[in-house]
Amino acid sequence: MLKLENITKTFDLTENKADIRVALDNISLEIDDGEFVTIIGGNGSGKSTLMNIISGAFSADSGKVIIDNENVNNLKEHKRAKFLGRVFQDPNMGTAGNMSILENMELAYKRNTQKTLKWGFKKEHYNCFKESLSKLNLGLETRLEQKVKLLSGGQRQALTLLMATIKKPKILLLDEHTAALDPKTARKVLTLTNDIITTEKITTIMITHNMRDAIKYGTRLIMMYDGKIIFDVKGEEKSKLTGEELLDKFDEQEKDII
Amino acid sequence: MKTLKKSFISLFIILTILLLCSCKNSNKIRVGILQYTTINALDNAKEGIIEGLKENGFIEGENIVISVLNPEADPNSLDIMAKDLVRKSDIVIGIATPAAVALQTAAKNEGKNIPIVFTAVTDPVDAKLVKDINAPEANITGTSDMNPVNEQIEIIKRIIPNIKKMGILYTVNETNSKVQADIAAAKAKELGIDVSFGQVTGINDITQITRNIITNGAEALYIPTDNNLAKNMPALVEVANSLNVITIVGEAGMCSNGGLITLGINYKELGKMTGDMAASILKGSKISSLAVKALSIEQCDFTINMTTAKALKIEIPKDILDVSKLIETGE
Amino acid sequence: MLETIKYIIIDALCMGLPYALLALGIFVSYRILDFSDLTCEGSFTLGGAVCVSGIILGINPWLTSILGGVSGFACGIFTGLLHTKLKIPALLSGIITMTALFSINLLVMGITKNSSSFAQAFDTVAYVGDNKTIFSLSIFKNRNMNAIFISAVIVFIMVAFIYWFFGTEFGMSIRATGMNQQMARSQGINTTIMIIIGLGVGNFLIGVSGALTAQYTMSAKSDMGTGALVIGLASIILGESIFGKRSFKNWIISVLLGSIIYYLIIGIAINLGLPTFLLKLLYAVLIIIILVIPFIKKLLKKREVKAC
Repeated sequence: MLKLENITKTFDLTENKADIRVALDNISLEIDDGEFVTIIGGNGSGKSTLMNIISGAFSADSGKVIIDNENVNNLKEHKRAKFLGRVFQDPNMGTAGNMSILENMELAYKRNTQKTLKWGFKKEHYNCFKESLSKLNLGLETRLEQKVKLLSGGQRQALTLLMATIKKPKILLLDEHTAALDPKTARKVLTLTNDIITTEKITTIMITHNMRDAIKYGTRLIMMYDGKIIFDVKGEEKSKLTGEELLDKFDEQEKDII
Repeated sequence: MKTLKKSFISLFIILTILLLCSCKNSNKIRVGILQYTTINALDNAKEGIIEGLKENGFIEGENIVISVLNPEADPNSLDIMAKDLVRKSDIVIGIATPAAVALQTAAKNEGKNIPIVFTAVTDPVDAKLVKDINAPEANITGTSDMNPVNEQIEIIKRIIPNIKKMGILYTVNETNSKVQADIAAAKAKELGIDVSFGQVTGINDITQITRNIITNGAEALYIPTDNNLAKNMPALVEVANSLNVITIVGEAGMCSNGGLITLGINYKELGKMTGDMAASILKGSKISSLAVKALSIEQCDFTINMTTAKALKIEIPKDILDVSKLIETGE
Repeated sequence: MLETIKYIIIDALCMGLPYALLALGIFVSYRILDFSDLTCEGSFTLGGAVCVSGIILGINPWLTSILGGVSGFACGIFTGLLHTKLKIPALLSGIITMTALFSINLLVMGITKNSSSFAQAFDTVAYVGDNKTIFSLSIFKNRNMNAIFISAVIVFIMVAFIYWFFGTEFGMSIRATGMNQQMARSQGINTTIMIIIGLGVGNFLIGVSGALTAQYTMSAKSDMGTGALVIGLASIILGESIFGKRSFKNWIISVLLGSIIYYLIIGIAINLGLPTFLLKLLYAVLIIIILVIPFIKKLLKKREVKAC
């Protein structure tokens, strides 16, 4: 489903051409249909940059991004959004605060279609949305006309998740989407996430800083450090992983540097 | 929110009461004067109007009440004030073209056939105030302040007989100035002088453009009665004087502010002429019998700024000097 | 006198209704798109210039009014392109367009002159004179009432248009873009197009506003746009503070009413005999008060909470 070939991305730190930070160093990666990949790594390891390259928010300096056998290098972010779903770390990022839940869902529903001058609200959608929202068990289905900014962080993330998956995306990108939530809500949202992904069999990449979650969820785990993939394990091997092993792997890298 | 609404409503009520109290009752004739902005020329015109009315027996406080409103060139206030004057006056007088046009529009919108007299309007036909200056067809007439531009350009030739090149400055924004500039250019060409235009856009590029036009060879500068340039004469004159270039200006007020010399319209006289016309109308003359007037060349005065003359070390021909009004603006 | 009050209300409507479209146009850029757009002073004047020049050339005034709007639309598009394609900051983009329009407006107003050379082919004012305007359509005998009625109809049509437009898929996408560009892009919205069209629509309204104002005052002047941004923002904030913005429909109507209230206040000030030189100070004080209202409201709310 997703193929990254020799992706390199650097950022200029200052005007001086010598001061650059290599965010992604010649990364190559292949993800199959239906895989649920968790990515873990310290700050500056390149995980968010990787996600932004896939979504099209940034373009790589070199290398190819191939989704479903199509080279999407030249496809702009909003065009890629038609078949990608994304949930951000910041709960305010994924929804339009001053619009109602209904309006946000209408937008999400039309993500992959051309925006016409037809009236934006469809009666048939109302009940459909209501049903989908009730499955979240957050009471959102009774507040369809309420402005999204009145919802809590967890509710917004759940809504964003629903919006991202209302039309099955080719890849679902989750960027530390529970990091800004309190532990209890984070748990709820993660459970929800897992349910949706496994039921709909969506190819997913989830960045998390929580090692336990990285191990518990998903079929494959990737660890990144300093712009490189240093550890990639899937299937049975992954299910046997422990938190200590991961930490060790992490410290190994640190020692190499020191 | 409710308290806010309440306070707004009470504010309105208070203002309404104030308004009710501010109304005056009078059986004097109400004269409304709309002065476009505050500059010497227009101020003088206003004074002249009031004097002109006085000379004809219409005295403020005795048999007439004069209201003067001045929007200081703000387009919004201009229209509101014009309407206000049209509504509460028996005759209105507009000083400068925008004021005259605003009064004309206000009269139309109010559906009131009030007599309108204008002054300090350079081209009344172009402003669509009258169709024929000799036979005003609507309820509008007045006096035009068309500068004796031709005669003013001739002064240049008298002070610098061998002049080859001159500059004409005006603000792009002002139609009246452009009209004068065109006439000046034509006259200069007739006299064999090369002309370059300095088109100023506002207050900020005056000195730059002045300097530019002089550096490109202008030996003299002509500045018509341009509102923007009139207001900013000192800055302009500083540049011209420092580069030893004479400045011929459109009217005396600009001389007071540093321009070297003018053969100008005496705006107070023009105002008096206007006051005269207004008085005739109040006494019953029909507007259609009152052709648009202008001051004759004999009614124009030479004014020389001696301080500038000394700074430029220039010699003014004696015959002009003899009949000129000399002013000093001590440095 | 009751007369004076009647006049103040009539004046406020005569000016406030055409200017309501200006406020609405600025509302589209400023509130919906979250774009500080300075194009308005130029597009307002262009709308008036195009309209009046068209009238002088003999074109139907209704058509020229629409053309005024279309020229405003073009201005908005241009600013949008400067910002999205050339990456020029929003504020600067508007300033650039406004500056360019200064010259263009002069050219448009000079179109009806028979000038000998290109250097003379401009003018600073275009007078309607005896030509017919949209206000020449005599529905009421009283010209002011007539103007108010016609303006009201046009404003109503424009408000309905705006309400409909921003309820369409396209319009909703523009609103989303204004709220959160990143979110909009992740929902497949081409934010570049949305910003450009959004600015176009806003400035279309401003152009129509200029056309109406020019026809009411019977002239298009090169300085008619001065202060347009301030008037528009003041109307918006005034309207929002007094009438609220609970729903989109509510919000648009608040902006409209804000414009009329603004002109009511100006009218009262002038009628109370406020000296002109103080008028500009009044504007400044008014703006400060208007901007402070939301802040005061918050303080009042806090006090209420503390009292409990």
